[in-house]
Order: sequence, then structure tokens, then C-alpha cells
Amino acid sequence: MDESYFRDRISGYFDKSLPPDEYQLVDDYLKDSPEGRKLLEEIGRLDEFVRMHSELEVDDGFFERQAQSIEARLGFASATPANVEPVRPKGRGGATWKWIGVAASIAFLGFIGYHESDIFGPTPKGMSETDRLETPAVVKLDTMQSIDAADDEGAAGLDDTQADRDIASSVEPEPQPPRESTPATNEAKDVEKFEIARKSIPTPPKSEPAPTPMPEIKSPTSALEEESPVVVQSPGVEVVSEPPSSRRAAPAATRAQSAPITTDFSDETAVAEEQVAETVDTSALLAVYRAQRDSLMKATPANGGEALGLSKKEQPQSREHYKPTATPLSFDTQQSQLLEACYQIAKLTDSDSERSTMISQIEGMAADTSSVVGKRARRYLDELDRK
Amino acid sequence: MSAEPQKKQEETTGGPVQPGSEVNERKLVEAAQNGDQRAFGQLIRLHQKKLFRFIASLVGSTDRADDVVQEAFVRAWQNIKKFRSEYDFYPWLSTIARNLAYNELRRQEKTQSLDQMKESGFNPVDTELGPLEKMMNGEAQERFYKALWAMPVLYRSVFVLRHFENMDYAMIGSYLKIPPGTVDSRLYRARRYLLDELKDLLE
Repeated sequence: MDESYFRDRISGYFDKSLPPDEYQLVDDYLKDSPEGRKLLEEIGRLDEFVRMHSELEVDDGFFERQAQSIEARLGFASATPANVEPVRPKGRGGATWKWIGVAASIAFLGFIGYHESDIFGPTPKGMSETDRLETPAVVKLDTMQSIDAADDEGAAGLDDTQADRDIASSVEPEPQPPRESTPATNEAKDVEKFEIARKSIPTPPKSEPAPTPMPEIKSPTSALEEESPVVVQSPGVEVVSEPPSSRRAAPAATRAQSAPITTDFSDETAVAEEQVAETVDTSALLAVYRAQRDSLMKATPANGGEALGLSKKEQPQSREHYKPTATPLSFDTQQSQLLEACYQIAKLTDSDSERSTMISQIEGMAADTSSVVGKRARRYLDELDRK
Repeated sequence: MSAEPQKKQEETTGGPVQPGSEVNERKLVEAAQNGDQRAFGQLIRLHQKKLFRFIASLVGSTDRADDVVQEAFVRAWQNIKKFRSEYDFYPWLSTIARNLAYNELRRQEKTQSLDQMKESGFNPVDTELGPLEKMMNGEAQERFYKALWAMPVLYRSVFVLRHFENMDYAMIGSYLKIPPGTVDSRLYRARRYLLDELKDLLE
């Protein structure tokens, strides 16, 4: 057998995913091949590197805005127009800019207030301050509607290839409306680079199989009949496609469609009160985070399992002995989720003892100075200190 | 809504939860199936981070990952009644999101090999991360994601499913409809490519 046979199986050997006979073949090959052993070692290093460096840092504000945006799209009662901000990741200096913005607004309003009569002139009799301020709001609404209308026209004007439509229809009941693509976006640039690279290639490689097939959508019943542990149910079928404008997650479209905008602001107070009443139930959230923490504690290394009242048997083992149990998550993902759960509990709980237990738990994770989770744990500790 | 679901809703999320009471994910799912919007809101907040990281790794763009994640939750809500609550919610949700992500990726290359891509002069270091750059934690992570997203979907999807969702070869093969041997060889090529791109960081 040639080298390529073994090379193609070395990943499977590393992941212990080969059938026993093939595993033995590769094992024998590695005994006589220093190159093969070196490659195996490199794959091991890469695996460790990925675990160390794959955790993306996204601030909580981004996720909260995303959650609110989803709720607004679904027309949930707790979603108000104010909630539907454009969902974009915030940079690390986001909070600073926010405060600078607030300070600038206050200064500007102060200036306007001080020079009010110079700028607006005296308020006419019979016209209140509110009347005067409502006019720009109406103008803003019209502008937004026209932007949305333009967006819709743009989306409808775009065309796609028949092949794309075919693929789309194999997954969804109706073809997906194409998304607008702006050449200036990075995403478009990436695609363009691939396109240029692809065009310069005469034929696809012979050794490679056909293009990746689109994952087949199964009906809930048929998916359940299969033994595949991945596809339990798939709701892709029977979904009624929405009109193009609502399919896109563009913030302007979302604002216009999911969150009704009105020029009547008289019930603003009522809406605000309702919003407060609809705030996510803290104790329910706390219970969910506690359950998540307990479940994760059973699978991840010791960071105070004893303190949490887990029995010796339930207490987690070391990284080396770590075996995913209920959920097929990597060690670092489990740690990351555990950190998140502990942080949320420490933030939400009223009990001082529970809070200090959670802080010790986070301190344990912060001790790992080389990992992303450790870095995040230290940041969380700082935030908890400030509170 | 009938009286019974309303009662269940109060028990799960609406009313005060007594200390020690077990409000678990299944109850949230059941409440959401009965139309409880707040319960579904909690499910969103429980799973969105993990889902976003996975989808962002797969599609290589914050905007597209955001779109996919939002759409996945919208579909999940629309179909929540069909979901059988005795199963875990996340695998079901991530299946929806994966299907949507593949739909998004359908325009990307499907047959190009890594060797051909490199021969044609494409350099992953030139890949612009845009807003994602702000999420990067150091040069090593930035280089890793640049290399990952520069990889053709054919290889990237296998790599991401293996490393980010911890799927075994049979699961990946079953999902992508390819034999386990092909999973093996694609994963090897993806790893080989990353080893070459990140050589200096791995030494």
C-alpha cells in the first residue's frame, strides 16, 4: 500500500475512529515510519492548539441584542421597538464610546436648553413643547419606511442561478430569496477571492469525490426512525416561507416588520411598565444556570465539586480522564459553559454563600493563565468585584 | 390558550420559582410548546452563544452567522410543537442552524481542492476578518480563523463538525452523506493545510 493510503487514515487513527483492522495496519505502518509518527505528533499539537485558540470572545451585549432582535422578529410581547437595535458585535471600547455619546448628548441638550429662545424662538401659544418635538419623529418614520421599501425592491431585483435555487429547494419548501451582497463587505471579498481562484482551475481534482451534498432534510418521523444520533428531528420541512423582506435579518427590515412603529407615543409609559413586568424571571434563570452548572460539573475537571455538594463519584476527573458524557462537548467548551453558568449565578444570586462559592469556582478557572477560559474568568472576577 | 397550559406556564417561568425547584430545559421547552414566549426567550439565551460560535466558525462571517442564528431560532419557534421534548433541544436547534448555514454556503466553492487554491496564489493571510477581528483574542487565534475560513467549505465543514461539535466520523458522514473514509481523508487534508499555515505557531 502506498503512503497516501496511510496518510488519509492518520486522522482517523488519531481520533481512534478507524475500524480495528485498519487501525492495526496504520499502527504497524507508524512503527516503521518516522515521518508518519512526526505527522501524528503534529496533528496532536494542532488539536491542542485548536482547543486553546478557538473560543471566540463576544461580549454579552451582542448576544442580548441578538436575543431581543429574534424576539422582535417573532413578535414577542417583551420585544419593543427600542429593543431592536442592529445586531453587530461590539468592540472592546464599545462601553467607552457609549458613555462619550451619552455625555455629548447631555451637553448638546444643555446647550439647546440654554439657548432655546435663540434657536427656536418663543413657543407659539397653543403649541406645547411635545407638539414641537413630535414632528421629527414622523419624518424619521417615513424615512425608515422608504428605506425598507428600497431594500425590498433591491432584494426582489436580485437574481440567482438555477442551481442555487435547486439546492435551496431541496432543503426548504420554497426557494430562499437571495441576500443582498455589497461588494464592499469582507464576506463578498472572500467569496470573490475564491471565485478568482476557482476560475483559474481547469478541472476538479480526480481524487476528490463529488461536491458536498446538501444535508437532506428528514421529516420528524423518518428522522426519529433512523439511528443517527445527530438528526433527531428536522423542522426544515413544512415551514412556510416568509416574504423576502422578512427573511432578511437586516435591522431596518426587522424594525419595520416585527416591531410595529407608531406615531402615537401616548402609551409609552404603559409599554415601559409592561417591559419591566416582562423582564426575564431571575429565579427561573438562576435555576436553569444551576442545573447547567451541576450537569457540567459532573463532566469537567475538579474545580470545587466537593464545595457544590457533589459526591466523590460525581466529582469530575482530570483533563486526561475527561470523557464527554451527556453532551458531546470538548473539554474547553465544557469549561467555558461552566464558567458562564458560574458567572451568571454569582451575578444573579441573593445568597452570599452561593456567590462566594461561585467566585472561588471562577478563581479556580482563572488560575489557568494560558487558556482563553482562564482569561475570561479573570475578566469576570473583575466585573464581579466591581459589583 | 387553555387553562392547563397556562397553569404549566406559571409553574415553569411565570410565577416565582422556589429555591431548589427543578426548572430544567425540558420544562422550558414544554412551556414554549404551550406558547410561553418568555420560556422560549430563555431558551434563546441559553443556547445562542454556543450556536453562534459554531455557525460563525462554519460560515466565516459575523453577519451571516448572525442571520443564520436568528433564522434558526425563528424556525425553531415556528416548529417547536413538532419537537419531542424528551430529546435534547440543542442538537435539534443546531441541526436547523446547520441546514441554514449550508444554504448560506451554497455559493461558495464545492469542488476546489486546497492544493489548487494555493497554486492559484490565494493567501489566507490576506483574508479580512472585518468585525470578527474585534473578537479575536491574540494573533494566534486570528491566524487560526483566517486559515480556517480560507479553507474550502468541503474541508472546513468536516473540520468544524469534528472540532467544534465533537461529532465522530460516523455522525459527520451521516450528516454530510459521505462515507467515513471520505470524512477521514478530508479531515486529514484540512489538518494538513492548517499545519502548513500555522507551522511557526505550532513549533
